[in-house]
Amino acid sequence: MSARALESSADESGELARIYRDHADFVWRAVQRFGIPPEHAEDVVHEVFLVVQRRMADFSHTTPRAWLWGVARGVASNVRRGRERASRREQVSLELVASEPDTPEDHLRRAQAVALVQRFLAELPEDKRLVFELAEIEGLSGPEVAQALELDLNRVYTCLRVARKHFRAYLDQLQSESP
Amino acid sequence: MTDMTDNRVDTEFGARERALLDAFRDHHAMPAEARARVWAGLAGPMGGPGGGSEGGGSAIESASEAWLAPTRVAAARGWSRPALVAGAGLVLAAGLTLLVLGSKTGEAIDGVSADASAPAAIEPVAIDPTSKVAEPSSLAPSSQPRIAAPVLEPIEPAVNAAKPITTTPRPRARVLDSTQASSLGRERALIERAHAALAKAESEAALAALDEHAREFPQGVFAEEREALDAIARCKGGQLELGRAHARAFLDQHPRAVLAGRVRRACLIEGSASELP
Repeated sequence: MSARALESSADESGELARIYRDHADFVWRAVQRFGIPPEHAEDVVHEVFLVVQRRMADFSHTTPRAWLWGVARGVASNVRRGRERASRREQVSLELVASEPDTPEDHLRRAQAVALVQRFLAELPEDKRLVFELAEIEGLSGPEVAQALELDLNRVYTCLRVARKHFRAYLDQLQSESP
Repeated sequence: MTDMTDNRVDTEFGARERALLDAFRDHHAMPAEARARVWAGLAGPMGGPGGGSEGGGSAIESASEAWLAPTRVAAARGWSRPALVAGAGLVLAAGLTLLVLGSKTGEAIDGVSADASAPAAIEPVAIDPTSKVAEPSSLAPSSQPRIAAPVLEPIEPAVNAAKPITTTPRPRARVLDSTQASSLGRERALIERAHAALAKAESEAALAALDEHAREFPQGVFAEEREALDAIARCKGGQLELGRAHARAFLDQHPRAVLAGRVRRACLIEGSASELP
């Protein structure tokens, strides 16, 4: 391999590494939002980044997560369509480093925080929930959300404003009713 | 008055809301083991973890560390970790107890509290089956999972505008330079050596690797893992009292560490039912 080819390969590898490190969690959550069960999310995340690897030239540095969201949506859709013909991958025995909760108190706190947000999200209408998740949980900007969801930017802002208001009201209500 | 109310609605969330949302996001982070496996599958053919990186240059060395979680990379730079503990603590401080929730949100709570260590499933969203997808052929049979079909619900068309709201993406991980990447590789090798020795019940060998790590990287990125494995190695290697002392120090300092459960089990702390070898 020529020096230039090696250099190019190294650059590509480094770029993929940066994308993976910065956005793997985002893709992990995104594929689950597209209906991939947690036990299969790892495989689908792998597929997403294989696509990213091949389509590096298309990678959007200005709106990376919006681009990744689109790739994740596409891969999840493909996986869903292809599930009938898919052969089940042999379950790899996982190295269980630590699977139990830290302490009962930690367990409780973690469960509380997650349950609060989970319940709120479950009660939000679909469009507002998606916008809220991408903006407030994933940290996408308004234009990024609009691009990812293929929505009008003003629609995004409307949904976000309403969802924020609901979230505050939801927490205020719980707080006022707590002993 | 109206303006003030509107401003409250339109501005960024405060600490209470932010902490909860951050805790939720962190709870659904990709597990470190899955992150490492996926990266190994991606980077192996390119000279990453599976392909060896000797002399491969900074980009490849940097790539080989990509499986590290952003928080771990942040730690390498001396940044603070995500505020999951603080977020969860805020929940308690706000008086939002499970008892309150239990009377109002039984299903949601049950779904989560049954096993907080296993992230609750994220609510699926609509998938447009006609959407342009990236290379169907990329789904090799060997890696295709079997999944349930998601709900297909189209998103409604756009409506009229409202006042724009600013959203600020939170800072994410930065890129390691080549020196840091090399150090991380060496650190990881030592920790993995200790881990492998422990797996073979060779506590002395594990402790030797950990000592080496401590000498070379006293403040290393994997210092937390080193402390945990040190306690485990001592507890399993016959130094139970010393091991427990190390374990308690570790748990005091890192109560939410990934290895905390394993440390407790190995050192029989806090009622762990594990047995010593």
